[in-house]
Amino acid sequence: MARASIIVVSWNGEAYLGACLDAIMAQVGAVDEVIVVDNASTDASVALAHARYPQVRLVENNRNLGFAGGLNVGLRVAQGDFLISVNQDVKIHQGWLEALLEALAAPGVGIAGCKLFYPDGTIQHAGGIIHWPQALADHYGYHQPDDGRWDKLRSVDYVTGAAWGFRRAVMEQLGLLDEGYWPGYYEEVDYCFRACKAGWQVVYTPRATGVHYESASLKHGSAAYLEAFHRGRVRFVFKNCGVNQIKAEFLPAEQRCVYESSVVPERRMLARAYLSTLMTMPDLSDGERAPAAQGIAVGQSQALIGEVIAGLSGLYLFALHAPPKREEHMDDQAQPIQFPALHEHDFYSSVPIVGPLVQLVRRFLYGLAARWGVLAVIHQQTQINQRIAAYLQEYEARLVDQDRDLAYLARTVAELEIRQRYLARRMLSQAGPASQDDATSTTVDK
Amino acid sequence: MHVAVVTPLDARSTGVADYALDLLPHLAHAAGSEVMVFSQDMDRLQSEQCGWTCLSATELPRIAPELDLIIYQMGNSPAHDFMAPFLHEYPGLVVLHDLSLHDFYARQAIQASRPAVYMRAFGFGYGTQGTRLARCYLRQPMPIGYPEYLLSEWLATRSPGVIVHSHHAAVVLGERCPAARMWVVPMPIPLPGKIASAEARAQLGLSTDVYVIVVFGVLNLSKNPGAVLDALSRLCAARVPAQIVFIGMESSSFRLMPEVEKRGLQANVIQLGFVNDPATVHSWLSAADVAVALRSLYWGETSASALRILASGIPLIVNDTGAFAELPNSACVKLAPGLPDTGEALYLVLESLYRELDRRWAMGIAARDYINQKHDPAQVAICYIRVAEAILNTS
Repeated sequence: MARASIIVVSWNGEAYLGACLDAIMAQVGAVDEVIVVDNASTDASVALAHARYPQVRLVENNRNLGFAGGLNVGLRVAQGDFLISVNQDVKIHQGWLEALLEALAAPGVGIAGCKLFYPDGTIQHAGGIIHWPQALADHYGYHQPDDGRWDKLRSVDYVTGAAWGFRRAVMEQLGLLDEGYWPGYYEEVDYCFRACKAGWQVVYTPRATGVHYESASLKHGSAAYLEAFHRGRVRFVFKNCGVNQIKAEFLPAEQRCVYESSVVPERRMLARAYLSTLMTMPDLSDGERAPAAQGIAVGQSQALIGEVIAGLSGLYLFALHAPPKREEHMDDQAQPIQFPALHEHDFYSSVPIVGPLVQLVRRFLYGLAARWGVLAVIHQQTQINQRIAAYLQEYEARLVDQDRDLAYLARTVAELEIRQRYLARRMLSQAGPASQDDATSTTVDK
Repeated sequence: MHVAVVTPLDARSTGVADYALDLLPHLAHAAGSEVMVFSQDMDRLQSEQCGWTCLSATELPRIAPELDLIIYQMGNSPAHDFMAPFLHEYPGLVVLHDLSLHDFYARQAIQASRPAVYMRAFGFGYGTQGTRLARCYLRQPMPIGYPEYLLSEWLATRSPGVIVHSHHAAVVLGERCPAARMWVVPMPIPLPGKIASAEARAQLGLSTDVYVIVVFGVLNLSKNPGAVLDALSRLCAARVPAQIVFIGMESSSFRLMPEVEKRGLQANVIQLGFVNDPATVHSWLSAADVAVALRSLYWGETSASALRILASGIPLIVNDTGAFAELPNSACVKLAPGLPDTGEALYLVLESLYRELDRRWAMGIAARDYINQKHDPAQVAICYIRVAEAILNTS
């Protein structure tokens, strides 16, 4: 068995793959193996791997399986005790592999990640943190200068999947990565979270460093990025959190987030993420497709699940319609009273074989004998309904107007009462205690 | 004049309690008689210690006929819910600490099973569309209601008088509710005794060369804490020995420390949470060099926190919006709201104030002068009594 299996998932990464593999090959020993899983690239990635790195094991997929799918292919064939994954657009620095393996060798450590830089030298990732209750995954040190603040090996909530590794024992316990996060985002967060739950430690080691060019990553803030990020996040929550937590903490926090978000495209992307989660709800309850789901799917009553689904549906509508302006809000949500349109009856027969014939005969007889009369009645009823709707709206408006008049009257009465009481008391105090009763009655009469 | 004040008195649940406690002694003096306080937070024994008569709110119906005027300290938080049965039954002078009151009425509908009250309040201001919106909300209540709708219009119209604390609030409410009888009365803010910064820092174990920035008040997303932390990050990068102190409860929608950890600022941030001891707050404010009170979402209310900071003689950085725009330029730096990078703008201001010690000093003096002139509780109490006299038609 190999010591470490380093898996690189490639997809149209010809420009970066060479540098990535050069850096890896400079660090691996005879006891390690390197696997490149190509996700059906259309550029020269495969040819490059073949030609320049004959010692690399190349696995070619016939379609793009996404990050988790591609990595899972590599994990299935990997032989190492330690399973390492490096993105094609990451160039690891000297000593990276040794530092990562050293961190992984510590007792209790299941997953280890590294310090990644942007090409401009600022930090991209120095371990990750999950902000609850929304499960917002965030990098430590993001875009910060590397000034020594992130130089300690420590436990973190998650590490980025751009360059990370885990023990084989973790995979044997948790299974492969969840491919439901396709095309990407949150699969490593999910894996780290589940590993922590299973008792493994997830650590960040600052001694393992590299540069992440983010060539294949979606542009931060773009619609595609936001959609993928939020979809992964919501899936992560629904997989890993209990119904009560989702109901009491996640949904209210999400609603606040949608409400407070001033960026309309982000709200739309949130809406799409909610819709996507609603549509994949059956998938989330499928243990094979969503490995080791602990949340909504497991051991919950249908009524509770129904409540959460209703909550998410409401959130979807809210995110879709929550407008930035009051007037739009009004237009969207406060539709006037409407009556459904009246329709003629549509004849239908469920009798086998002769059913369509029966249906035709009924339609014919109806058209011949009754249709003209029914149409007139429908027309009359529609007019009546419209008038009733108009009356109701008028009465509703009148009620509001009357309420306004009532408020003015109530205030006038209140003012008069207050003044009357005040004057009565002043007269009482001026008249003295002997004539209290008389004074009171006189004032009240006035 | 026999005046009663209906108010929450638990400072943990609402800042209105502090407001009331600052005002009441002066109000009694200005009214020339004892002031009765109706609350649900204080029993008779405690009230005797405080020097005025405090009764349970349930006794208001019995005593109301003996009173000249009832003053309601009205806000949107659950601390004000106990006032609901009395507001319309015993009308009086309503001090609006919040213009929306959406959540107050929504709780009436959902928790007190009085949906008609909520729908009337919504319909009153926004017509048939308002009642439909209320129905929408009642069908599926959300954690955040519709704070942008002014449901106070109904109450403001029905009440013999309304007090707001800023001209901005008066304009906002006046536009929606021209029939309301409204007065602008400043908030009562007592001027605290000045502790020397060095002395305060010594008490708190802070070095004299640290640049102490204070963020005071309930911490939520609308206060833009992310921008404050971004500015701190830039200050640290510029080698400014900055330290931010967050004083105030965290709201349920925001957790500060993960944001701090994310930026690696643990050594530069102190989070005190809610501080019950006024002396401790005073020490921190005395030790501060500058304070920040940003608002991204704003529904018109006046910030008592900002005014208390100014009372401590600290230069204040605010957003140039609503009632904050009415604060004096001599004591405040005002950032345009909704800047693409508020963190950068805030950093530039903080950095320049760090360098300009004289400017900070002058701003601090201007801040205390402003509070002394405009927010003296004794003067505010006199304003209250003048409003009461106008309602009673005695002036």
